[in-house]
Amino acid sequence: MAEVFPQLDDPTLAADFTAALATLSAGRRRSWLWLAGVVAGVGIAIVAIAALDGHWAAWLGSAVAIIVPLSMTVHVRSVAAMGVRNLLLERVVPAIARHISPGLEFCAEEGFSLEQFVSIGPDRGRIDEFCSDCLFTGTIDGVRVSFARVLARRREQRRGVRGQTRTVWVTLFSGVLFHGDFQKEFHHPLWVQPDFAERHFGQLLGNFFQKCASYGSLRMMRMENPDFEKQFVVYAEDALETRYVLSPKMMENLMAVGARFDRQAEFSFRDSAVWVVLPDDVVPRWLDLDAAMNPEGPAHLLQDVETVARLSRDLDLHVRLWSKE
Amino acid sequence: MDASTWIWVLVAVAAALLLVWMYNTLVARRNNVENAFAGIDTQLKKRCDLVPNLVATVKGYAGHERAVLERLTELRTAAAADGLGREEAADIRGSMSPLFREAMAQVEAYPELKASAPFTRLQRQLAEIEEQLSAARRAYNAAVTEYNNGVQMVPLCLFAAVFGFKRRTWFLAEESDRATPATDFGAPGI
Repeated sequence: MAEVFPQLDDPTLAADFTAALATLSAGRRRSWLWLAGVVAGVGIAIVAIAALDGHWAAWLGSAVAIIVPLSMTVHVRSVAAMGVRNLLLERVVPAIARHISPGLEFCAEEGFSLEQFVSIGPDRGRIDEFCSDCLFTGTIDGVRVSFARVLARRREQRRGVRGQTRTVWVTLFSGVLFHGDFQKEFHHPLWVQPDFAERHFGQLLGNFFQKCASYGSLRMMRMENPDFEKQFVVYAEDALETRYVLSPKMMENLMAVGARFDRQAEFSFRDSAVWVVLPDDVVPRWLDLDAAMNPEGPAHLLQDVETVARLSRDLDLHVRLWSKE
Repeated sequence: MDASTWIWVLVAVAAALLLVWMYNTLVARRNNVENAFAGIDTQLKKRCDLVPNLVATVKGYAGHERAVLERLTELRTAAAADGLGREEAADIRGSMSPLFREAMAQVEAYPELKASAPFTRLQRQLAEIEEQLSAARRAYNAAVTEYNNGVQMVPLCLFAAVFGFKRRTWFLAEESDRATPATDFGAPGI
């Protein structure tokens, strides 16, 4: 905590956060007392029901003796946590955003739209539930960027062994999306994904599966960098534009980013912008406020935001040598 | 027809289909090479078209680099001459690369010109075209590799010679391209 707050532009934040944590701690202690009340209520209930031989009044009294302290336990804990949560959302994370770049803003309730998510590709099929929040938007080194948390799920009916049906939610994607303005103008989409097929089935079989995979008008393209080819597979429409976007330097950058995210990051280039798709596996518990309600919490939040924000520099999006302004 | 005749017919049809497939594959790959070459030519032409712009931008400052600009203009005119083959024109446009670099490098001597908006715009356009040219050359080499693999590898190589498909050569950087450092783009706005 001591390392983070001096870097942020809110002078009273450290004291306020310490006070909020103290309130949370006091609230948690109070909740333990109410929890003891629940135990006592259970004891009273057993005695009362036995003494009154299961009379309705005994049941009613027992219910009150248990429910009231139980509700208070939950209430006291949630009220105590709410204070810290609000402070994190309204002051700590926005200050972290400003610290990373003065042009970067944080909107807790906003996120990407379903249309934006679908446009990235590839086709993930029907999406029944989509939510996106914790949007960071603005500029880093003069480059327009935005990133947010995203969850997309599909509802499916599954039949059990006895023939009964049950509803299950299948997670199509859960993680963080990064969107950055690309340095060059281009018109055809291209998609760079980790080379799972070659990694798992070997070069010959993997290459065959990749060639068979179809993503609309996109077809597999082999790039001339063998290390890049080992790590990624490229699907694109236009051979020349693909190489214009994936210059030798950009391929190096993508490999570096891929290595940083355990070879699981995907990249989608379309409409003269780049999308980076980071699944939960590589950004676990990203911006998890519940896990940040402790003295080290703000430092972890800063690390989470920096991890994604530095993609702009990792991909050299600020280098503007070309005619696109 | 008896069974053995049917088998021979099927074998003949399969062989004919295989031949058609091999021929079409080679033709498709050759067309890809032609297409990729056209991509290089397009970018060379775009860069060539920047010559009047370059001359107009630096003419007020032109000193000893006037010779470079004149040479560029001559080559542009030569490349646009009637009756010139596509490859010859591309060769002439390609030979302008070191001259472009020389002209841009000489502008270093004029800080006022280097900082001017028209020159910065020109520099960005040139950088963009050079990048596209590089991409076009890489796309060409990828197409040539795929084509040459077909011409040299079994089974396509068995018929490549019969149909007159010959190996193509890759685009290799000129010695001057390797030796001369790229234009300094430490310009404002980077």
